[in-house]
Amino acid sequence: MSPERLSRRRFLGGLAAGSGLLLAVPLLNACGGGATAPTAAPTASGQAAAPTAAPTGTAGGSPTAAPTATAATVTPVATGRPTGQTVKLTNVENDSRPLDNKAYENVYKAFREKHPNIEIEFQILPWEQAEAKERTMAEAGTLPDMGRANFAASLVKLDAMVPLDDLATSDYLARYPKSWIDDLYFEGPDKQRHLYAVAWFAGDKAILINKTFFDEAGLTRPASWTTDEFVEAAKKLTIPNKRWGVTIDAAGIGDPWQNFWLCVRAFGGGFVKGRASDSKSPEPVTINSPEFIKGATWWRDLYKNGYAVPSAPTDTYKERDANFMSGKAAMMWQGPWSLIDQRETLKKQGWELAALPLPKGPAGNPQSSGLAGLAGIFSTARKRGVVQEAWQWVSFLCSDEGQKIYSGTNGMLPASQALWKDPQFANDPIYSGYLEGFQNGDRDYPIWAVGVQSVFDQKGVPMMQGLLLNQLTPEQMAQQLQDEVIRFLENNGIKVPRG
Amino acid sequence: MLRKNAVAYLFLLPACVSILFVDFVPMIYGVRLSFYVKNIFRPDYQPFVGLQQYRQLIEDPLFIRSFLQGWYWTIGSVIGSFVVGMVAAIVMNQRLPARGLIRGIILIPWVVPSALAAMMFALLLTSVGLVNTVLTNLGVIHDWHPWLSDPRTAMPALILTNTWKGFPFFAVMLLAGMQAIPVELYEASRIDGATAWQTFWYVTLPSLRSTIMISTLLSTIWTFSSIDLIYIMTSGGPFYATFTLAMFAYVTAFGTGQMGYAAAASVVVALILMIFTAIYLYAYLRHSDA
Repeated sequence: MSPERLSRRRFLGGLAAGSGLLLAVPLLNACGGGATAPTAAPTASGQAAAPTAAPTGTAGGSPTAAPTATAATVTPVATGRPTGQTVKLTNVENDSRPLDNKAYENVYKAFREKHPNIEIEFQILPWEQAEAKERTMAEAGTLPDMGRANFAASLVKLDAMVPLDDLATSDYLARYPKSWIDDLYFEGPDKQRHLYAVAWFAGDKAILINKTFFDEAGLTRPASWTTDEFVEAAKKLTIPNKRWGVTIDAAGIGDPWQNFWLCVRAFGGGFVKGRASDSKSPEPVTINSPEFIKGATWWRDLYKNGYAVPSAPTDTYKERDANFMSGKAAMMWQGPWSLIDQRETLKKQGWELAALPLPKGPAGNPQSSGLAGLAGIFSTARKRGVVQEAWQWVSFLCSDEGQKIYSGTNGMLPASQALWKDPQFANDPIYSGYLEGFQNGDRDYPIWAVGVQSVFDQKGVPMMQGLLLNQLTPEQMAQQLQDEVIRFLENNGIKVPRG
Repeated sequence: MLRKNAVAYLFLLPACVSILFVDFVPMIYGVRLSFYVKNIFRPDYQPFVGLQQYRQLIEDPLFIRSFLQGWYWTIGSVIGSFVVGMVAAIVMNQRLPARGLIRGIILIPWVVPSALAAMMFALLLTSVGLVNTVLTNLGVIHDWHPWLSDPRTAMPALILTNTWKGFPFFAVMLLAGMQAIPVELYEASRIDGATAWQTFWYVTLPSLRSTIMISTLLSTIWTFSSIDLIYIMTSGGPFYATFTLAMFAYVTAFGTGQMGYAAAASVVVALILMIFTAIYLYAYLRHSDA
């Protein structure tokens, strides 16, 4: 070997030494516990509406119950910081409709008048990827400081959220319907239930209709209707190859499953025997039932008989909304997420928007969760020592004042019962179906079946597609889905008794 | 001399360290993860299970289906992109007016972000999209067809999209290869009276063998492990009709939170591609020696 050449052994030795040095740098940095800097907030890009129903399937309270709480007050909390020192926070949101962005702007403007020392950058993680991304960020410790907390169930398991028990007063929580409050609590790393979220907007489901098409077809708008009457209306509203009675979304997360599940529940199907909200400990799962099969069959037959837009198997909520807004379909299941926007868009085309209650099946017209928009504080704020400041924002957003500004801008329903009597909501007929629906609300699944929404989204929705495409019968779907749910729960350490 | 060589190795050091930490460390961690049950809903329960998750994969009918559909997706896309890319390369290699402009236009699909391409084609292929409108007006079909919602046409529609997106890569590689072919070979074939097709088949194609080998190998690896177009256009539906192995790994990890199981699927994807690469290279080298 020539003494002038670097040998392979010496090179590899040098490489190892260099790698060790480079590895030491991030390790030392991690030990130092550097604060996570707020990330720049990309501006909203006006993405299509996202389903915003809470995955926890909470029970709705009575919209007519007199509010029992006085206006919530947020206790100013000493931060130990020098007065006037600016604190920068990041807030995450999953929806990005233009009116939602405007609503945030208006709330932030009002917030800054009260808290000029707190600056907030707003991030948007689109709904479809939000849960996966937030889980990944939680593992990496790079979550924002606070924001939309609809995935609290999985984030709490990763110890990625801050309990709010010492921050939210009982008066603050009493503004919500009693049955919702339980759903703001999750089991933390210490196996105890803590308050991890508060709510700023509500919503369940109604049938949005193109009233102009209804009038043209000679249909009257009923105060309530049955599943058979719904099918008749869909049939009359269908003009082959031009317009369909209803648009169904059978792809994506959130809305597709929730809308399907409403049909199943209308026929008496359910996760357990009885109300899911009342089930507090593991009991036999009853997904595989004759009632489920009837509900699934009814839903499938809308498509099979040609009353639903043919692209349903791969339509997400975006395509569903587009089908409705473009006049391709006359009806759709929808929450009160962008009613103002939808009403204006239809009006520009000479059409009128209206909302009808869900059709009643043999088991009535059970509603989904009334509890929709949850906000919470992530562990990043704890690491950075800005929990108090984050709470200032979260509590303001979810206060009556914040909700009034937010919902007043984008037309969503506020979560505070007192605000349901506001003329904007109480006097507008389009909200009546939603407000009445809160009375029939129930969780989609019991509180002990933590994370099972992911099974519905990842396994249940493809089965819905199989149902539409005749590759799966309702009986097969009922059995397979129940098996998947039980397997998931048992893999997560939840022993499910057999019925 | 020593200093000269040492400096060269020092320049290589950052790249080596980067490859080590960006490629090898995550790979090793992924392999390690595949031997543990790691479910994000149960962070306190991560037992070592050895090869159990691999056994589960083999017994999972969805895994087998995803494996086969992954090859359907890959082979269809690579062949489609290669054929169209070859045609484009031949066009770009001609002495045409505005050749530069033509080359620029041909490269457009490559520079369009995948997400945008996916959304664009999804819109074109909807029930009332341009594709249906044109085909019904031409009388090719009588009723609107939901291309992405029909299991029979969903995968071909995705392959068409990927072909559009991927052909410029082949076009560029093959064009570069064509321009390296000695002109004398073409002159000789012209003197011998060869037709255009004979020239292409006996002169151009053999000369491009190594370029074709490298580009198809790379394209196969990238396509087999890609999910962007599939995720945006069909999310693996309808009813798993476009579910590939890469989608299986992604949905298992980020949809159902089963990180360990997804890591096992990812390891399998890597092994499949390594075996494929080995067989491909062996066949090519053997043919070269012959």
